[in-house]
Amino acid sequence: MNIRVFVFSTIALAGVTGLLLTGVSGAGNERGDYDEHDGEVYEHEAVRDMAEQGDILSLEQILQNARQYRAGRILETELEEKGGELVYEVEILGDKGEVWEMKFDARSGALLEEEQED
Amino acid sequence: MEQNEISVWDPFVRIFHWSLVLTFTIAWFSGDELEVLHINAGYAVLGLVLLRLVWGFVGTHHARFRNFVYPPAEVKGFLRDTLRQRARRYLGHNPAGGAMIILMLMSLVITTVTGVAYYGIEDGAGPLAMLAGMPEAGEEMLEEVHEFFANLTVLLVVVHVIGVIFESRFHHESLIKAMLTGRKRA
Repeated sequence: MNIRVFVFSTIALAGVTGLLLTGVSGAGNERGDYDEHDGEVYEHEAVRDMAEQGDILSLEQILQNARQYRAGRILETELEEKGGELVYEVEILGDKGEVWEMKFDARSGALLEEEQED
Repeated sequence: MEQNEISVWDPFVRIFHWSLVLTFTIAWFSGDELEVLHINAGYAVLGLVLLRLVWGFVGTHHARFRNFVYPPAEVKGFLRDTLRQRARRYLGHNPAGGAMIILMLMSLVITTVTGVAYYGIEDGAGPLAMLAGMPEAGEEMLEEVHEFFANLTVLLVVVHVIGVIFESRFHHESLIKAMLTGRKRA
């Protein structure tokens, strides 16, 4: 086998294996307390503590806020750090079965983004 | 090696091909749910495509673009001959296969680059993290383009597989096996 073939093949195999192993191990704790690619995802206790200390609005306040924009069943909530900002993500089930994802600034409660998931 | 068989696809081309099948499939199915896996599979796809683009210039004979990129007229001619069941057999990629590779590589470049850019804007992470805070309109457009080209790639893959099966039957040789062993009937 010529040397170029060997070098390219080794890089390709090593790269694919490495990235997939990182992805598989990272995906395992997706719902865990730390998501290395997306900033920190906070546990319920941490969220409650931060809200009690007044660092961020509480989940209840955010949900109240969310309901003013959209009625429906709350599917999922998450406090996450995105680009250095704390953001609440709220998923709401719409009346036609569609899922809306809303993002709120955790400090001000302002609606940052609303989009329909597909 | 059996007699009358010669080496056509070098090991890199074969590893590239099947790794791309694996990583693109993973990226496709993890798209909405498993973000970490999706992003890593996407990086792997991008890395593979970049290596393949370089290999298209410095690789072995049948791996080089100059040996499988034909003028559009010749691609059309080949497809017409195929419909009339008199297309000739090529040892390397035939003109239609070559054109398909170019289309798939381009589609994958657009898919991965918009994916990385979207990740940079949305989460302020990855190689394009400096894009964080760009206007939301840009972010939504990137997401749409990313999804469109991911879907287009799947469509191209379907056509590619149909072409491979058709060609294998027509010339009585398994092109799938050739992509595994690297060897074809001389």
